[in-house]
Amino acid sequence: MPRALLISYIDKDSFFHKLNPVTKLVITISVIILIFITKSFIHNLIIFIFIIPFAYYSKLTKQVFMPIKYLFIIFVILFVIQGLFYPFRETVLIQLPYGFAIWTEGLIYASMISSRLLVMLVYGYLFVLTTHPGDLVSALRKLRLPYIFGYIVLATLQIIPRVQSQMATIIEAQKSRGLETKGSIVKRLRAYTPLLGPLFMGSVQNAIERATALEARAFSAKCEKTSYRETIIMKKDKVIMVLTIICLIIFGVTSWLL
Amino acid sequence: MSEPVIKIKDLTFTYPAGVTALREINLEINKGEVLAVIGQNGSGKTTLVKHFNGLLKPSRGNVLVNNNNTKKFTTAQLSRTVGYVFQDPDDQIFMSKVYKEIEFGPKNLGLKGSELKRSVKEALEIVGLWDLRRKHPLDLNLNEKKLIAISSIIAMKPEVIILDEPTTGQDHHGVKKVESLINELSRNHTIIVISHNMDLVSRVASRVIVMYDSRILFQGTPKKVFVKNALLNKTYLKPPPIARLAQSIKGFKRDVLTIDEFIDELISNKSRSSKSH
Ligand SMILES: Nc1ncnc2c1ncn2[C@@H]1O[C@H](COP(=O)(O)OP(=O)(O)O)[C@@H](O)[C@H]1O
Ligand SMILES: [Mg+2]
Repeated sequence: MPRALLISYIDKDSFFHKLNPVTKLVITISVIILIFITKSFIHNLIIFIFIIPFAYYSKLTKQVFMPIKYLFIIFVILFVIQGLFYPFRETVLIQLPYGFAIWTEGLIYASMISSRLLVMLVYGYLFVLTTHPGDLVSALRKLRLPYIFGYIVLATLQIIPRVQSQMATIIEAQKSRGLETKGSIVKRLRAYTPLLGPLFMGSVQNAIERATALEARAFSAKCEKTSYRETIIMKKDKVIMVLTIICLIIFGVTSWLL
Repeated sequence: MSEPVIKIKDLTFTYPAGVTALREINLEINKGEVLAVIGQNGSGKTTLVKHFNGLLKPSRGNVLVNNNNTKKFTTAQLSRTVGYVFQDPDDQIFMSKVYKEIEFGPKNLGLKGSELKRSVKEALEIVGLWDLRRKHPLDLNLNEKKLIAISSIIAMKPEVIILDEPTTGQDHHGVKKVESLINELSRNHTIIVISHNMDLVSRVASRVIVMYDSRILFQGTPKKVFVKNALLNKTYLKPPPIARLAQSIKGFKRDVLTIDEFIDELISNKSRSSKSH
């Protein structure tokens, strides 16, 4: 049975889980900066391969790679469109009938974008899988970021799995009412259209209820707030953060020079 | 003996996340019966009934609906025979008009024109909400939403109707309405009802199965089931209030389930005790 990808924290007792959220954030952001510095998709692929030790040390080797299959269709579209219509095309790779051609520059551009997406996806996903939303909020607050900022991150992370499971239930309900969801893409798209209404209405309703509940518990009170989940930046966090920044500089400079 | 509508053979089911929610279930559901499924939260009731219309397929064992193995059919195909009303009406109402909501199922089954209109009208009249047909489902109260959800299944005329906790969150009036609806539907449907309302179960069910920890712990008529206090205790269930009251009175029969039976006992007990004096 196919199971939808769950975008939420998975509790494991691992080295990576126990790092301070800020440390993990520094790693993730460094990687994202890096892939925008690099000039070759091969460098991006090397950065991608670096996810393997991270995934291993988070005990989530299988899960981290699960979202990749959802990117394939995007990759195909990118390669087709850029390969055919890239605006700065110069070299024909394959001549096609009716004056069309596949252009080398287009393919290079598509592989660049694809590899960036790939890297962002797996590193971002690893971060979400290994970071408890509560810890993230607490850690962000320690950085003296406004409380509301942490809350927005938390709410987003919590809402995604909820919308996912809500969607699964609505699809089940529609199948139970005789809707055939197997078959052609058109058939499936048609099946998913009536989903949007209840999903949107449900989300708005949730948001209103959430706002009321938050205010009932003094969310906007102007005072110092405490937290159930405490996060401390330990020595290993500092070491890893410094290492990450050094790696970022070294990788960035070499990739730029090569 | 008529053939059972649903046959469950050695059904074991494990969710992809790894929770085994059903273990070696064997059960036959007969035509025309009102089967109640009781058991504490998480005991596997919903998982069990989702196998009857193919929303879930057995990990091991088989489920046969009119002798058709559910593994070979989609839920949409099985929905002609087995209708499932979800626990939370908000999960299953997705159209912007009550009328369209009821129409959704029969339309998928290929009904058209006057036949479609008739089935929608009948389904709304059975639950008494024909007057609300032009309303937006979100403007209805919880009792009404539940009835709309049930009506949307009735409109598909399935042989079997499954009601998953139909009275949860309902007020007294809503519970009464659901009870009379079950009685009416049971005249020409097989009904499977999951419920925590023992009072309702004792009044509508012809058979009760008690689920505990992914298994069927025991089953029988309400009269047989609600006197097994030791077993019920183990599953954190209690007989209906009237039965508990009767059971606590010395000299009363132990399988009293209705007010009428209670009054009968009261009278016969009184005459017995007055005779002995
Ligand atoms: N989609 C799911 N994925 C994983 N586990 C589930 C899922 N749905 C239910 N379960 C688990 O299966 C068990 C039985 O659940 P359920 O059939 O819903 O019980 P009930 O309806 O009796 O309350 C529970 O332990 C529940 O946590
Ligand atoms: Mg349930």
